Amino acid sequence: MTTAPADAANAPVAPFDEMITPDGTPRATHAAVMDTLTSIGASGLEVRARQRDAYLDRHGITFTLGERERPLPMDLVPRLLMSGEWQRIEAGVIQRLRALEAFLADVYGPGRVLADGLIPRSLVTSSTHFHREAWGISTPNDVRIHVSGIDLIRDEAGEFRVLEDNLRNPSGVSYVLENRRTLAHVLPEVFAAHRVRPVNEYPERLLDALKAAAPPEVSRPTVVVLTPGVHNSAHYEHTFLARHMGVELVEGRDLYCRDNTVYMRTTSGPEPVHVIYRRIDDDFLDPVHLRPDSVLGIPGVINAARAGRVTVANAIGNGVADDKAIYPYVPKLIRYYLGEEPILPNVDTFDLTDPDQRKHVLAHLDRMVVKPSDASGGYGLVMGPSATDEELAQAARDVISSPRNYIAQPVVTFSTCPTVVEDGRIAPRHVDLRPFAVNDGRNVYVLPGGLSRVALPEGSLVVNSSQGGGSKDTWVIDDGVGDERPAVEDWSDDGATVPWPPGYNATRRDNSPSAHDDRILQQERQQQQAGDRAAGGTPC
Amino acid sequence: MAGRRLRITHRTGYRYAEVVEASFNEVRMTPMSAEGQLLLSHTLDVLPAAPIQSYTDYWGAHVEAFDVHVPHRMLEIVAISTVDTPPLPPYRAGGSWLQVHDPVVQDRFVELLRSTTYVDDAAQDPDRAWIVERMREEKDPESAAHLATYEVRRRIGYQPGVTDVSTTAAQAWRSGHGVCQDFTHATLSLLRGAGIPARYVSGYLHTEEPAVGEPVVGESHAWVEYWDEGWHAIDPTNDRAVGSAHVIVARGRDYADVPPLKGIYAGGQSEGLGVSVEITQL
Repeated sequence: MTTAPADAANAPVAPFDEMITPDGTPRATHAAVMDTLTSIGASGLEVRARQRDAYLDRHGITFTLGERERPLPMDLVPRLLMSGEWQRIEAGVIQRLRALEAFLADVYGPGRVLADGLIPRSLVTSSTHFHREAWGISTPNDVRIHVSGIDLIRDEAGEFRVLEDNLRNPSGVSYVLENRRTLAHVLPEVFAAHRVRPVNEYPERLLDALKAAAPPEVSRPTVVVLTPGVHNSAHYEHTFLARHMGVELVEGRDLYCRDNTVYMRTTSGPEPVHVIYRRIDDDFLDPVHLRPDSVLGIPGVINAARAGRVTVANAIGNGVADDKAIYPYVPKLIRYYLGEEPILPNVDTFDLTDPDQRKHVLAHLDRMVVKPSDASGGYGLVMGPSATDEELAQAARDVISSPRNYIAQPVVTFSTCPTVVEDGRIAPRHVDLRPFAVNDGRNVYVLPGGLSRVALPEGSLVVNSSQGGGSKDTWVIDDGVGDERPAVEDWSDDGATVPWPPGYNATRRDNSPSAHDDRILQQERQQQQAGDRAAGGTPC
Repeated sequence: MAGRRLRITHRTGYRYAEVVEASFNEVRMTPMSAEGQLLLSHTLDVLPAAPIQSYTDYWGAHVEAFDVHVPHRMLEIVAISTVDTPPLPPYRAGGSWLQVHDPVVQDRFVELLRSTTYVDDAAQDPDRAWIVERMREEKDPESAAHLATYEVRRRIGYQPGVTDVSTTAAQAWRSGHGVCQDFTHATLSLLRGAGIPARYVSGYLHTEEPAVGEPVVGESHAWVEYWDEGWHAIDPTNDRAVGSAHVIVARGRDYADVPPLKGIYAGGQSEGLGVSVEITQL
């Protein structure tokens, strides 16, 4: 299924820089924004950064990392996506979701894809997120992935690729909205030259989609947001979404199930609930069927969903489709269910249950990223180039003893974006992108932009978990250029001299300061990702 | 052996130390209609009374779910079913090792080959690996299955009260005692260790000889089905042929997939009031 990468891939390749072309000229698309930032200057940016921190602090926009709350570090330089690029991302995300929806309906129903042998049954049934308890539960509008966050990276050639699918409880969307509000407040002048697509309709779109998922006989459905509680790292977001949708934020103990109807305890008595936008994991949802010791969930809710009296969003058991061992098969699933070619390619991935691929990976472990297949995000990830011999030996033992539980990928160098670093200087830093999509059963709405996470290394190669990553306001720019533009476009660099911050040293293919540096940047990015996700600080 | 028409009355009771405000339960007590077995009628009564929702689970069992919301100190469940069982099927030769070990077959039945909470891989246990070795040397999976049954019966003596509902195959093997659930799990461990797909069957067992019109104390029973180009049933507890005295209710990987009753409640300790199964041949 997977493509073996050329061994040449082991030679370090310069990252794609979103502002500077490989031949060293700045891209015209970034001219206006960079012009504005240049005129503000480094000292001005430092002032704006303090204003930003004060603003975030005043609005209580924090996320919990370890034990402490801190402002979400939003970079002052927005990330720009042109409408042609965005159209392709949007189309690719929608296509992928349609296939993954079909896959979930299939494995929790007739199992055609397994009978046809497209995916080994062993991969599906051994997924820790394959919940047989959810088998046979149909959803009112055939939606299981009400909200998704499909993580993308931009490879060395500038092409967007899917890094992983998040179909359970992807978080981070509140930061997208807050970033826009914050940037507009502290740096209003950067918006002057562009028409940026708005993001603030997200809560309304989400509420519409949740209502559309209600049992059909309910004319005015009651929607709630179910949170595990204030100690959850994403609690801020749960509060944010409930408030902006105008619905109740509840914990498991606020709900109960009786004769397949879910009720919310209110001061004026029990009120029936029709849609639960739950932000707790499957395992904790219903102690009757899943973890019997869970106090976060609602006993009986799975059978209430089965009876069609309440809709649980996202649906139970979605994790089988974002399992990393299934990920290599998603392009196949797109062809199988939709008869289409994938718009967004995967990152090359080795299936370690295949003896030949496993052998190759074990022989080149120091050049691979090894990831646990059932963990979300970078939890438990081993980064070959930066791992110690001991870590590599352990990874090898893990892969040999339970190949199903790991996948391996060659190291991919993420693209870089201009980012404010120490002293108000602007320098390239690595970014990824999580576009959020909401499926209401008729249309998939992809929030224009999404969450760009940026690595903010502080000179040190040791990035521990307390340092976290930052984020960027991500713009989709209506540049009046239609869909005829290819995804990996030339960005029509006309060679005109466009000012850009002095000292911005994008890595160029022909003028790479040090190939080694690229590796380090990539390592830091990966470690950081692993670290903050492990601490539960970031999405999913 | 001719087929039988059996009426099965399965009573379960619990008494609670404190008043229970709410309980959520699932019952798997409905005989299947499949492979010659035909369900004629089924009723489920619970006390305190509660509406019952039924559905078919992943493994094909008929599940009845109910929750009780009146304060109660006792819960009683009575399931009454009438079922026609088929006669003992004629002997059918099984398949070869090659057929059973075919990668397509191994993937198709992967869930019935992997170890579970109850059923470990006997090939990994020094105490049992030698049996798996010898099974693999048998001429075909059928002979291997008979060897597995023989070794389980040689090792484990039938004795109620030593093991409980949570006892695993490995624990039963070590203790040397057990009931049908333990015989079944232990046999599954050996079969799966030898790469033979095998599943847990939950149901009821009538007397060996037909006894028309005579209510007899039956039992909630468990046995094994293994696959060798078709399903074959074996009853390691009694070493009896599986035929018209066996009533199939549910199948799965192990006991955890097929419990006759499972549920949760809020409240103090519970005391089982016992389970009784009465079977009358009509």
